[in-house]
Amino acid sequence: MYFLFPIIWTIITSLKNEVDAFSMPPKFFFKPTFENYRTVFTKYPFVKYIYNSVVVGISSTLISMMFGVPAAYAFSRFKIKKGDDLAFFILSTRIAPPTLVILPFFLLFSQINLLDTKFALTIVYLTFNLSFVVWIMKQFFDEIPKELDEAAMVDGCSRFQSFWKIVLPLSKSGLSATAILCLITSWNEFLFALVLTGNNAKTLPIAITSFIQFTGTRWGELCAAATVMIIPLIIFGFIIQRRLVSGMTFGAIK
Amino acid sequence: MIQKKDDSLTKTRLNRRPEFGPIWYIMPAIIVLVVINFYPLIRAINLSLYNYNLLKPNRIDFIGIKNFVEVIFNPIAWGALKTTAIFTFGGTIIEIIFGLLLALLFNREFWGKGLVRSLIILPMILSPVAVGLVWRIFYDADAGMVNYFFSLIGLPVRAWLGNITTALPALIATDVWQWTSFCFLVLLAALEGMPIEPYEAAKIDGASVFQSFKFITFPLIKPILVIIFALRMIDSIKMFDLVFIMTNGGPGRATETMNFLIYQTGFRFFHIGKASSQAIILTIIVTVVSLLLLRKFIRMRGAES
Repeated sequence: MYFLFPIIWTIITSLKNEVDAFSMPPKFFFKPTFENYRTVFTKYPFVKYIYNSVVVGISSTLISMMFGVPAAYAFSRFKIKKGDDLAFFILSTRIAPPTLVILPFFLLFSQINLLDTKFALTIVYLTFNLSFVVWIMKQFFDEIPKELDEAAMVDGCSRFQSFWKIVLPLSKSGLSATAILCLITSWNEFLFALVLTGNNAKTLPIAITSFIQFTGTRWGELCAAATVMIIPLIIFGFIIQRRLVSGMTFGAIK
Repeated sequence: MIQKKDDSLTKTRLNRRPEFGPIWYIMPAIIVLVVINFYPLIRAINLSLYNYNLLKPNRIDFIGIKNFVEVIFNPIAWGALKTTAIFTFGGTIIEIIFGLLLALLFNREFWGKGLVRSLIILPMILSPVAVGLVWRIFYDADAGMVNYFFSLIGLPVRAWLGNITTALPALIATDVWQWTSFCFLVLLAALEGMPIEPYEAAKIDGASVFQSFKFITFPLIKPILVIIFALRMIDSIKMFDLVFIMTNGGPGRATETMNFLIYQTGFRFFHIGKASSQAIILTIIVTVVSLLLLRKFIRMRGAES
């Protein structure tokens, strides 16, 4: 279908050698070669970029989950003073354009010498990941009846135990969907990575742009790099497809 | 008697102070959130009040709201605003229309429906960078797929991204490619959740397909349409990757959205003060737009209940 064509084209082109990739009209029958993949991995420290993306993605997701899930639980179970204001504040982080926060962060990190580190990037990614986790997980926790908590507490559990042993296992699917969505967002993030990283902490989205050089774009290699980048996404997509809409609309639509 | 015993037990258990009050669950998250979000906000406001230019670090003077005034009277800023408006509005409308048409088309059982569903989400979760790169190649004047297919079916061939009139539509087309699936999925879910009875009644009364759509379907999905519209508008305003990768704001300023202008001002020309003020203005615009749109939704929700 129309929607899949560019994706398929990318994968196919990554398997063509340089001559075939450029030829017009496009060759649909050709001898596939892994030459592009070999070049991508040897000419550039591509593995390092993958590693960076993975580390930043996982750590920011982990931290967001660690902080966000308990907070979501509290929002769901307790009546909090000014709870609505807090909720709106969390929602507003999705509305604000990243360009607003990036300038101060850039200055801050350059002043304390943290530019071009994965650590800095992880922290900045918390701006959207953390609020996302809180918002979405609250919806999931809302779906689990409060009576279960209370029943557990009657049986002798402390509040924390009922959270840990009862509610959490029940919300496993929500937890995994949220985590994967955080991973995907971090994986694809471009602007912050562009501004805050140099050669050291470069992540995949930035690395991909380096294939456009003055000597002309090397399509085959570019497609190979792009394919490497989107394969995890395709896998993730299959895993969370059911929860995807709910996640992307911030729970407004289930 | 046993029951009484249980009751008193329950009372004591639930009345006892919990080990971790709600405060402890939330505090860490709130602290992090506040620090991470407020700090940049305050600093950005602070920055916007100075004529801070990274290239001239010794000349940082407090100039109050001069930056803001300058932005308001700057034709370039207005141009960027117009570009942003065309991109966000045009893109969102097209995505919703296509998504709706597709959803109406697919709102029936057929073999492979699950497969279609899982495949159609792919454009949405791909990195905008990758999408931008691939489509940039597609739009290539000499060896791009778009021109190839157009030449096959007799449509005009041109340098899409290099032409002032076609650059922005080309960007919009790419955005549409990526996000129509989103509208499609949401609307499909909405359509699937609709009751059959009104349609059957309408059919009995002799209503045409178009009429049943207009009077039954449309009113029922209006709230969802509003939400999708709001969400896509907000996300489109924030769009950066596509512009950066595909056209870099060009040719000229044809594809320079407000968001991109802020980036240019701040990181190409290093006018941090000016860029901050532009960013604040953009944030205000987005907030106003979202409040307007979502308030309607909240009111609708309230009306239903």
